[in-house]
Amino acid sequence: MKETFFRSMTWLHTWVGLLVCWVLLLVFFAGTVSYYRYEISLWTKPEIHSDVLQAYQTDNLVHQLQEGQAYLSAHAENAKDWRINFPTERKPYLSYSWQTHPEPGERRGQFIEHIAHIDGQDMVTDIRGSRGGNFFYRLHFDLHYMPAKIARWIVGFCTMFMLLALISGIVIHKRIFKDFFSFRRNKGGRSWLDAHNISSVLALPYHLMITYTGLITLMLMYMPWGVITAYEGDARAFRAELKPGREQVAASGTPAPLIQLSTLLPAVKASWGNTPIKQVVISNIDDENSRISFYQNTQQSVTDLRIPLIFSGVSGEQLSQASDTPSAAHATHDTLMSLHTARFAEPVLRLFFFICGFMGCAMIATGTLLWAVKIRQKQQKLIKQGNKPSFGLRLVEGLNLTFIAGLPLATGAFFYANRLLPTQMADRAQWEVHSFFAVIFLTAVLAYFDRSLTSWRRVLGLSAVAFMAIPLLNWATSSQHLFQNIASHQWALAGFDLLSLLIGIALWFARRKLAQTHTKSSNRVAASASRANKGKRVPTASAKVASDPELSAKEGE
Amino acid sequence: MGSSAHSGNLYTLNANENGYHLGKFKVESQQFLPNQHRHQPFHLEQITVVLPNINWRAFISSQPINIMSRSFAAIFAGYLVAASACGLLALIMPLSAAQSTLTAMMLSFSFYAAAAIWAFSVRTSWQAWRDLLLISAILYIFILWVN
Repeated sequence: MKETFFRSMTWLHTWVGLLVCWVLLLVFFAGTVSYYRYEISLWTKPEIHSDVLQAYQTDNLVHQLQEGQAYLSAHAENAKDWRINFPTERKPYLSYSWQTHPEPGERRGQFIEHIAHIDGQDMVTDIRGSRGGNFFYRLHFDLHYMPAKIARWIVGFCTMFMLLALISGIVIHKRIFKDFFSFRRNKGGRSWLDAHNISSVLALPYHLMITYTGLITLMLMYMPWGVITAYEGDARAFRAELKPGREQVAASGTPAPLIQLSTLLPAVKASWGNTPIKQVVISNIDDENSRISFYQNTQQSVTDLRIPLIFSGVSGEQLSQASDTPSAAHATHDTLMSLHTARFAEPVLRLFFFICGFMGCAMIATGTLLWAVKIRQKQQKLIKQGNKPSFGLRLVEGLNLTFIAGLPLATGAFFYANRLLPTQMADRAQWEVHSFFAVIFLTAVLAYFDRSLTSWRRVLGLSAVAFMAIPLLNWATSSQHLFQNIASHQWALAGFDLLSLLIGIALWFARRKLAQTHTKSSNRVAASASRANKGKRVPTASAKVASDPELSAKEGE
Repeated sequence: MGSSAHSGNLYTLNANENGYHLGKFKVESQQFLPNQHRHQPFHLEQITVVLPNINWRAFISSQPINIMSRSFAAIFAGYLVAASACGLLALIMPLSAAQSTLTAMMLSFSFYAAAAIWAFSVRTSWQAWRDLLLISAILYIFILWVN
């Protein structure tokens, strides 16, 4: 379409990237945050920070199963299913939970989870309503305030665009290895380009992997055509063949007593040895067709087949065999899925994934900042003559401020809402989410009136202070503060505080950096600023690099 | 087609290489004019309305239409290619049904990406449509044939 393939791809990269970058930034940001989904969920429930956290104990299984069964039959007689959740590395507590039957008009019943104290005495039942890390996890493919189905199509569309932007980005990047090692500081737009290149190239395998596997996680929705030709559209049959353990057996209606769960432990041990058990699910309770499924804790392995051991709840007969070797395609699919979710990642690797995800955010953010810088530079002459910047430029600059600076602040607001909203508030979990979006909205309002560096500094400064104060917030609103958590080796909780502190400091540096460039460049652009809109507009982030000739010479359209 | 003899006609349409011209027309009395213009010095004979002479070929290859056409080709025809390739592969791969379906679905997004790149790299936008639709048609015929 342009004269050469190279030029076409440059054009494609710019526009495909720009069109969807803010949705992608939201998705990347929320996805990156949800690498710490369980840790966040733990942090957002201060009720269980003391006397609850424990490790998996093989010796105690019989006792815990008996206690759980007794507790559930006393408290959840009419539930749809029961779950006994054993402590894992990332969810270090024992809990008994159940799902109620859906009320008319509901798709699924309510989940209720009671958490056991270490001493085995009473249970923690009054946990504040919060979606915790699940909010970010859902946000990254279900968005919010819209039906999940529409949101997933939007996210899928944007992900496909991202894949195209990555491929075309590789094509146009002739000097991929040379640029990898060059970062020119304080060179205005040149530096933004270098930052874009570095954040893209350094984590390129990660970016490609996460984008492609992202599409694969929802491929049954996006690309059902294989099922349609090979299974004549019967997705249920396909799923049943894929995951034999997932088939649901309907209740027969004939009551029959449930056996003691602990009597099944020898059979589980015979199949799995001493591999930790993650969860026991009991469905169709007290029915002839009741089923008891044991799930393994597959934390450490890359593939996560989740093939359970299933027993009849009446006779205790084992109904499924321990998993046989998976087929190649199945294993590939599983590996791709766990690469996306990083569920196998131990703390150091998880941190590495988190950093890569953050680099993805940086790649998207620097890309769109770079676009704004270049367009402002093109319009510099007109702006100097007192004209307004074009609508497109104002829109992009506004959205940049809203999302790039607004997302960290909104995340901070979510954590503060979690600790400061009254615990008995109606719809509490939902109000935490509302406060997240309210902050984004307020940033957007600010961006509508003022997109100058001052605004960037204000928003970044506010989020820096908010994040640096999170350990203090935790100190004031939880029974365990940072030093106690370090002393008791609760690394999930201590890590949350420390990472927040680190992020706060990083945001503060970003703010200071902007303050410096502002004073340095204000002389240079003061003239243009005072002429534009009678001095109302202070130079924006892009104005400070408006006079960089190298930039426009390098890139195409 | 051009005609200069238009006396007595109210409207004539003349065409030349610059476009279509609405011919001059004479108004005998002022009754044709809107009220507010009645007393203004106004010579209707001098009005020539120039409508653009639409060159469809040029219009189609103009930048915005070209981009839109290619984008739609990439998004929709590209999806068609990916979908039919996915459907065909699920049928013909020498693996079990579940395995080949899984593999076909996993691969399909790379076909989609390749098709989209193709749509933006061929010379004209109609070529993009032609290629992608042709490929999906062939794949679809294969699906019917295998079935």
